[in-house]
Amino acid sequence: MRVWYFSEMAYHPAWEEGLQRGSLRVVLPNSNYDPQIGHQLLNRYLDEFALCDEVGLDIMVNEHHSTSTCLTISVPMALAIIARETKRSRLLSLGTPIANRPDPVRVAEEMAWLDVLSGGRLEMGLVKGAPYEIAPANSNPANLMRRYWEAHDLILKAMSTTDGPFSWEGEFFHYRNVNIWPRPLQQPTPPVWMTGLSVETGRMAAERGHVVGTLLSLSAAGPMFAAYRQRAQELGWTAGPDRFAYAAVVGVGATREEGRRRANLAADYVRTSPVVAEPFTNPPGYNSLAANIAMLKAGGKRGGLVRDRHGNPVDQTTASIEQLIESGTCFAGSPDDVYDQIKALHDDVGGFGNLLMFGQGGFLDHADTVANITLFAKEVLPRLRELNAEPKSAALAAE
Amino acid sequence: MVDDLAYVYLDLAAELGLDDAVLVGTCFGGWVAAEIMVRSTTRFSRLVLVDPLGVKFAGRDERDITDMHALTRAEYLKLAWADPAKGEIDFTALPESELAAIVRGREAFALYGWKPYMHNPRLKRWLHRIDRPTLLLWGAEDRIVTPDYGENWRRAIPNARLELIAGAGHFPHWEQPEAFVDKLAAFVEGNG
Repeated sequence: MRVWYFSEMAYHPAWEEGLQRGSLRVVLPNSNYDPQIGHQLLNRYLDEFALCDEVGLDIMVNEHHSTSTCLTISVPMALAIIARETKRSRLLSLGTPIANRPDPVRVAEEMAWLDVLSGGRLEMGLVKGAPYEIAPANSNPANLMRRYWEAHDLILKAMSTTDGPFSWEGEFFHYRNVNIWPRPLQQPTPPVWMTGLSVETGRMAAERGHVVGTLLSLSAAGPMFAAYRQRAQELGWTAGPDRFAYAAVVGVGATREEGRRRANLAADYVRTSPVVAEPFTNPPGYNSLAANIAMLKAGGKRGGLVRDRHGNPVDQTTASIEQLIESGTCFAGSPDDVYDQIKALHDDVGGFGNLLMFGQGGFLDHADTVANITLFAKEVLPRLRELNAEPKSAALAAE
Repeated sequence: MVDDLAYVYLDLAAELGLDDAVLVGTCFGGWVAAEIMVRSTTRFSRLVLVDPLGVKFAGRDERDITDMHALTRAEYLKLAWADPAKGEIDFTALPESELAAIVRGREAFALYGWKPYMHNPRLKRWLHRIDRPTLLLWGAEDRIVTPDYGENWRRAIPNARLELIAGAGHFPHWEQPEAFVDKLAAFVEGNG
């Protein structure tokens, strides 16, 4: 198993105000952001990413917009810095919200540039983006996935075409001369990742052989991974664990108490992340017809991400660390505890080869973050590397 | 694009053999009706627009049309109805087929009107082509699109009149149906 450290580079000093106003995103005015404090925080977070390279962890960066929960507003900007500060770590962009980007060819250029800069260490996530990203981008939610797939196809064609220029006259995007310089170092493209929570996403990722990642939710991961494996079988190949990624908050300590304390602080991400002004949580067309009918039937209540092992919803905003461990949202405790929890979930969902380690969140300070990263790399990572250490299986089969 | 809808309805009017018909559109339907009439008025004798969306009059820093997608349902009802209680719907009591229609309707509303928000920037310059008597019926308490916005419509269409309906918001045909029908009938009969 590979482990990818990430942090959303939060601006937690504004969270209390955001919670009082009922939204940490979209409508929370940026007068609540102090750029001087932000300067300190961004540089601190980048130092923590750089540390991962020294201890043998891979690195993941994501982006959000108009929010106090995540101050990474551009994956390529952050990864450009991290690429220069690291030598060994693979660099996962997870990712670019391509249905919210007006210019897919620009995305292809930036990703190719990062791949060249990093010496072929890039892994490239092309993601749908969360519902509350629609408002900052002002992208149309009603045809989001049609736009997603057109951008996806165009980006991969732009990155893998070497005898351009070519033209593109699609439903959403129009170019007469696509011929990106530089082209990526990894041919034909860096490995492609998708994210999601649904069985449908699992099937669509399998049809392309992409890595598929899911977030914080044991109850979603199992069915999605199973759908992927089944679809791969139907198409005549076997999906290995390297095709699957699972994201969770991780807190490890010398003792169980210390690890839980760290996870509990980092888990404020899980508790604050869904606090968004209601109109931005479900833009029309973003969720399926069936999901919307179910919401209306339930009087407007939405199902949360976090469910316990029996599938019952857990209130994400108030969940205890015990509930979050039970739901597979957090791995927390001593190195033995954390390994055992990861192994159990791994076995539950039929195996996954990538752990996306939310190793810093909110009020987990620099000293604790450094200790969390260092101890995890020393005590847990070597044992996880032994877990499903099979060779890559799908990249070739999907050709 | 909304012009696709305009052509669909023009084809339908031809298919039905309409002649001297009165075209009525409310809210988003008012936008569609205006898009139809700037293309062809031949099958229609009169136009009625009820609190229509679809045109941008103000400057780039001002909204003509309230951002309905940035409001909670309760906030929306306060702006869209003179009496918000009348707009309440118990969705939990509706059959699944009706809920599906509501969800699909919301999707279509976003598909056509997300950006630019609920208007066609080119429509204003063609409103002069509407060469039929036009009645703009407006809920006096509409705060999705206000009567001032209705006044801008009146000025942009050559032979148009604006009439307000008291005690009504964005949906006067639902909120004050009798007053609505009276004004509509008077206009259609040529007395209004």
